[in-house]
Amino acid sequence: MRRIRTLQAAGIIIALAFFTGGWYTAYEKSANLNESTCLGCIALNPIVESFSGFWTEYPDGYSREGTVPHPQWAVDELNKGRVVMLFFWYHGCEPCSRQWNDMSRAGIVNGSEGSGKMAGVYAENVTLFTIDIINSERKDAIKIYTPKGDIGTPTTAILTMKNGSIMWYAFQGPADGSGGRPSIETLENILDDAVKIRGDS
Amino acid sequence: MPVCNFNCAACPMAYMCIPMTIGAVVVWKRYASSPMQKKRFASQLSFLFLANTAFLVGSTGFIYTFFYCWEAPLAAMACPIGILEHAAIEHSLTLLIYLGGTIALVSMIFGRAACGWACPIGFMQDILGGKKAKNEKRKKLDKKMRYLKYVILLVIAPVSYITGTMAYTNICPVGGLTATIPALILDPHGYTFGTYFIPKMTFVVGMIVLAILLSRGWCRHLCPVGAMMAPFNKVSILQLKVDFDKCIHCGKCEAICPMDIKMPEDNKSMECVRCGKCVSVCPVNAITLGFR
Repeated sequence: MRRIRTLQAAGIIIALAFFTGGWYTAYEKSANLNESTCLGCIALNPIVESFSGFWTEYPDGYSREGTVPHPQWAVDELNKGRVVMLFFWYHGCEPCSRQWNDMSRAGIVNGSEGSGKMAGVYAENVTLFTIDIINSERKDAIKIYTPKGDIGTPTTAILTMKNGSIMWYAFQGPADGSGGRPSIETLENILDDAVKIRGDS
Repeated sequence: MPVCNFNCAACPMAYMCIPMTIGAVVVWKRYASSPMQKKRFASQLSFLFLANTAFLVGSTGFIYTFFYCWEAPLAAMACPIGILEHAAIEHSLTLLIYLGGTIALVSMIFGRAACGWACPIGFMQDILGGKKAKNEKRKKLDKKMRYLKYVILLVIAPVSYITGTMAYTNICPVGGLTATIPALILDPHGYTFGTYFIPKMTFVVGMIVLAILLSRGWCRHLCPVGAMMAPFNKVSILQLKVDFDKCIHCGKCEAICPMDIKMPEDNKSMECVRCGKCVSVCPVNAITLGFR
């Protein structure tokens, strides 16, 4: 009996050590995970406002109105004369990796989701930020671009600039051409438009 | 997301909290037989609502020690299986240690009691009240199928590691029930169906059918969270203790056990969810559930 008691006490102490040791770094990650929605994980992709031109402010359907607080690091790239594409994703998000692979096959991007770059003609004019919504320092930027200010992946945003005014379009869910979301071809067209607008201004 | 001013519909199981509460009232007789079962009823009902209190406390960063889904709108804690998958995908030892520590800490004390006293899915199965495996053929099949949950648990991490996907979550019926369906109810015209929608819903139906056909069928055969906690039943502080001097071998404990454990001999079974029904039914008080 005493031996069992000793084993139980040792087990609890070890478990407590694991819990507290892991908690120190994993607690925040768990909280971040808990606040996010992996749209692929719930097997639902949101219906979004289809692309009919870039926005300058928050459009109808967003929970906010007026000026969009674009992150400074994205604005800095726009000021350099470039277009910006933001791709918010996280590990294990099936529609994120599906969209990434589709974009790779279409020659829009190359490399991995975590460190990929724009490919082909876009490499010259477009800066890509791939943002892991759990681990990236830039993770909070996703709340700017989702309709409810929530965290749901994948989310894609394209930013361009015309005469000093930032124009943008964003959508949640994979670029599969359904539910108002652009197909990969449409995404290419949107990027082409963004590059043209940035070049003209 | 909020549907009413009280935000109660943001409770991922709000659509289930109400029918489950009604169901619980309907099956109250099953619990009314003893003080312990009444306590268990109160505990299960409380955890059903407590699992959905994020709208009051916000995200906590803790991990549920039963099967619940963080993709559920405003779930307060993280799913243990989701954390396991993330640990594998991100090669995160700290996440694995955190999960292991959480499960081990709770299970070292309570064994698998979370299944019997806290898990909303367990509560749902108790309400559905599936039948026990009766004939020998079914019993044999049931015995073999019990290993399936351990196999599922053991393959989740390697498959997630190799494929880089939330391999189990993609088809998880608990997620389907607590996250996908509520999301659709809250915003029925807001979504298109993803790749895994049909498999996920098929498993939801399968889980419910299994729970109807076999008492605690999900816990017995498929639940990987139960599989995580099961080995701790052997060494936990909370134990079923049998006084064999008092035991008259009437067979009532075995007959009532929802997990079909061979009681009273197998009182430390890994399958025991510590529901205490055997304690309540024993005519000579030979079985007790307590910390020792």
